[in-house]
Amino acid sequence: MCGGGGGDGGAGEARAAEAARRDRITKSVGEVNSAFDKFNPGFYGGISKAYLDYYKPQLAEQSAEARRSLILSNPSAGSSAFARKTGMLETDIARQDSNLTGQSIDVANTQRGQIERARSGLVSQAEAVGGLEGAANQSALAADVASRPQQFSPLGQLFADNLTTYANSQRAVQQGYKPISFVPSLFSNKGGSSTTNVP
Amino acid sequence: MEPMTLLAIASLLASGAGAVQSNKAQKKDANARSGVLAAERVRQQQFGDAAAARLVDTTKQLSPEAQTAETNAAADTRAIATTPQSTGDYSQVTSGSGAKPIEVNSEIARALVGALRKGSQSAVAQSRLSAYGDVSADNNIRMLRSGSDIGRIANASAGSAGVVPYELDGANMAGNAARDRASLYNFLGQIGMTYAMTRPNTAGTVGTARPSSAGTSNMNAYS
Repeated sequence: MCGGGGGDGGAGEARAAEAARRDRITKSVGEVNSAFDKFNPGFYGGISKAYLDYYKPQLAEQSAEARRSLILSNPSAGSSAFARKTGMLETDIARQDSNLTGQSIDVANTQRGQIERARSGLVSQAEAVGGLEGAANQSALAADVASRPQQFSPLGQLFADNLTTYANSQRAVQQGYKPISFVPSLFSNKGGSSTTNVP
Repeated sequence: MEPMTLLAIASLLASGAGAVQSNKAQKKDANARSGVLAAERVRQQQFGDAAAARLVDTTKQLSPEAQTAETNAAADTRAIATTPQSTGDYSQVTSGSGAKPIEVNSEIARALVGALRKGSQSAVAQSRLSAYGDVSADNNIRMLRSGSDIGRIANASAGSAGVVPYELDGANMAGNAARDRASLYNFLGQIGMTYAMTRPNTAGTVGTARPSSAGTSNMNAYS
């Protein structure tokens, strides 16, 4: 005999609370995404550029040194072995150059994956707890941490192998051993019988 | 008509009205429950549609055709970036006082061209190989985002479904007003009927539970 049929047992309140929870999640996810907006193609391009800015000069230095060593270690003019060795060195330099550029893209990709995982983690947290309090601040912090570039180590010796064999042969000649020449790849061997073919 | 008879009829009518109101209350409850379930069905359908649309979108991006096109584009982009453009300068040994014979110079020139060609071929081949990694990285991010979006939809779906028991409880109160009226009518009918059946009845038509003086005389008349 009591009541008037107007109550809903708190159902309306529960539905409103659920709607509010979803709004909080949407807002938090939006804040997370906003904080990570700066990680755009330009940002990742910047990582690649930083990588190249660091490594390309080192490659250029090593390339120049390797060319210089090759020239100095080949005092005997007229040797087609020098041309062959030059070709090998330049091929190596070209490959190393391509490698570095490729690695600069890989580094940016790796960073992109890490940043995306950080973003996704925050989004998951926001969903799990029904909206993060201060999602913007947390996201900004996480974004800063994620955007820190990884440490790069200087390049190792890239062209040591190219020069060692040739330099050793030159040293051997200087010490009185029979000169060694390589089979010319493009020229027929017009030399005397004193040459030793090294495949 | 005797007052007791009228009271009895009124009581019956009240009880009847109570039954009608009770029925009405049940129908209201049932309608409200149906409404709750129908509304939730629509919401769940929307959640399902949104999740399916997101999945279809991701699946399209992962189709063999799309992946091939993406891999080719990534390979081209890499090849452009990684193809070597020049070789070293060997004029120091190919010209001037210490110049090598012309045949050797030609061989050096050919070796440089060959180095550039080999470097380019290597760059293109490596680009094709690395492009798979690029696309794979893109796919990982794509699936991570898709999974996150679908997870969020599933979260909303579960949240909405979680409210339904409360709404069903609320729906069971929809007929409360009619139920209250039914209780009132039933109560009145019960009281009236009890009164009519227990009150001494001079006419003897209703209320035979307790012998009255009039009833006695009637009984005597029959005997």
